[in-house]
Amino acid sequence: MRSNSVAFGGLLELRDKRDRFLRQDEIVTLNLEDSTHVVSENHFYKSEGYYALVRNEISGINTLPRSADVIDAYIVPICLEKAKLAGIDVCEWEVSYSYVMAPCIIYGLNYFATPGEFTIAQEAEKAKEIIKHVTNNGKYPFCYQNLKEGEEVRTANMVFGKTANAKDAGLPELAEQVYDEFKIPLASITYITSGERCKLSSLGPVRYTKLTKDEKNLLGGYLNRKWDSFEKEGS
Amino acid sequence: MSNLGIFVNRQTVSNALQLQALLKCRDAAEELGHSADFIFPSEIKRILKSDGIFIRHNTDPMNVAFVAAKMAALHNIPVIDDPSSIQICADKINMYYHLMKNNVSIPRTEFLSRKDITEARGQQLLDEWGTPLVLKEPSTCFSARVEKSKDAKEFVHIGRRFSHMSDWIVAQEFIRSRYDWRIGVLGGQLLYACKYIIPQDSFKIQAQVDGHLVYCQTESVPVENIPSEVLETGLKAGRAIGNGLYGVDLKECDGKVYVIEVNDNPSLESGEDSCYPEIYHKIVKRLLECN
Repeated sequence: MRSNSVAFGGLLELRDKRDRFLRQDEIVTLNLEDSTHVVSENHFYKSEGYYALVRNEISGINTLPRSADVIDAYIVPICLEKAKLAGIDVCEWEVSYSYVMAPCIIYGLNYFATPGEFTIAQEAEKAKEIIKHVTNNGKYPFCYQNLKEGEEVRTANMVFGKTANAKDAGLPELAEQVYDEFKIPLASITYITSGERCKLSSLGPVRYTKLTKDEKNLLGGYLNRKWDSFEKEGS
Repeated sequence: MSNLGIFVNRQTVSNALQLQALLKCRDAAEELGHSADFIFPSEIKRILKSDGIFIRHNTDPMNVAFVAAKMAALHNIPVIDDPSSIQICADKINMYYHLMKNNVSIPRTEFLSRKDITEARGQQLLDEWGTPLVLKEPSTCFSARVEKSKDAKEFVHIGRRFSHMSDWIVAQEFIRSRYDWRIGVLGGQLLYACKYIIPQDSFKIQAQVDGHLVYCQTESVPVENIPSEVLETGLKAGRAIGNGLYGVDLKECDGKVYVIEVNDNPSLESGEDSCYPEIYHKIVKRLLECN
């Protein structure tokens, strides 16, 4: 039920210090034709943002992102396999309990792993330490992606598939492709680049406070262009 | 001839009962003219070479079994448990939402966010539903993180602890019983039925009693001895979740039947199949011969 529809351009646009952006944990629901878009700084499994999606789905509301897409996006091997099948350039990945070839990027793959959080192991000895930590002494598996010479790992924020001030020429296209596949309004994207080519490494949630001013304006501006009203949950 | 991939981890194969059950599954595949291989997490890409995947590894969207299920589904390989069933059953909030939507009989249940975990709210629920209340962290499995609260202070104490793991938790009316019915459902049809006799001094199928881990006893029940309401409610609950393999837990109390939960990846190694020797044949056929 729409409780309070107002033109949102004025609220989201940053004008001075007193202007408030979205508060911590605030969830904004946008209605566009036959879809409801849920904007949250955290959609991950068992969060308020996630349950907002589940509740809508159970009520038969066509909601984006879908709760299944959010889980897929934030679990690295699934994210990469799904993205690869959609034609997106992704990093090759493996699952292991102990062994990696350094240098590589390592992600936890267990109940306690934080989505999008990674560690880079430049050499074998360092990799052993990292693996001991992320696997809880070999109890859980982990996911790794090998790094080739000249490759760099970078992270950026995506706002409805757009990036502000992209450092790499290939990033805007990659971000658009990722949004088309997962439909997550706000996410951090980790990618590996070697010159112009950008390969997807992982996705994670992004806190409102971590958005730059340009990204906040991108969010406000993008929504303002696309939709003419919004609904703030619970207001 | 097709190949069945049985996705396992070290814990599964190091347990004698579970290993015995896995071998029964492999034997069933071979009796039907197929082959079967065990696939461990570090070999996860072998899933793509299988014709069907049977997951025998604890499931949760946050662990590698879900990656296995999703890999199979993305490549159109039949899989039990399918990702949707794992996503719903591993999260009690999502599971109860599906049961409520399909009018399945469950105990009185509410979902509580952090701001609801107050003594006043706890007292209100205790007044309405009686003592004790059951609180569940949504990812509970094998009865872990399911606790009774006898008063409002305990409600807040347990609720806050569970809130560290989930933004929402489940509060539920307590249903007293000496045993749980377990109805095994495959593709919406009965696969098996048994009773889990709850250990003395506990209300859970697995519990710590005097510092020792105690398990329920399993009593396989032939189809003709299943009360019709238990059978119908169990099947309805399974169908409310999806078309996969489920173990539906039910309690009977004061002439009514309640679904306590629906489990994906149900245990099959504790004698559940005593009266149902065709369990694994049916699973293998569903995975490898349904196309």
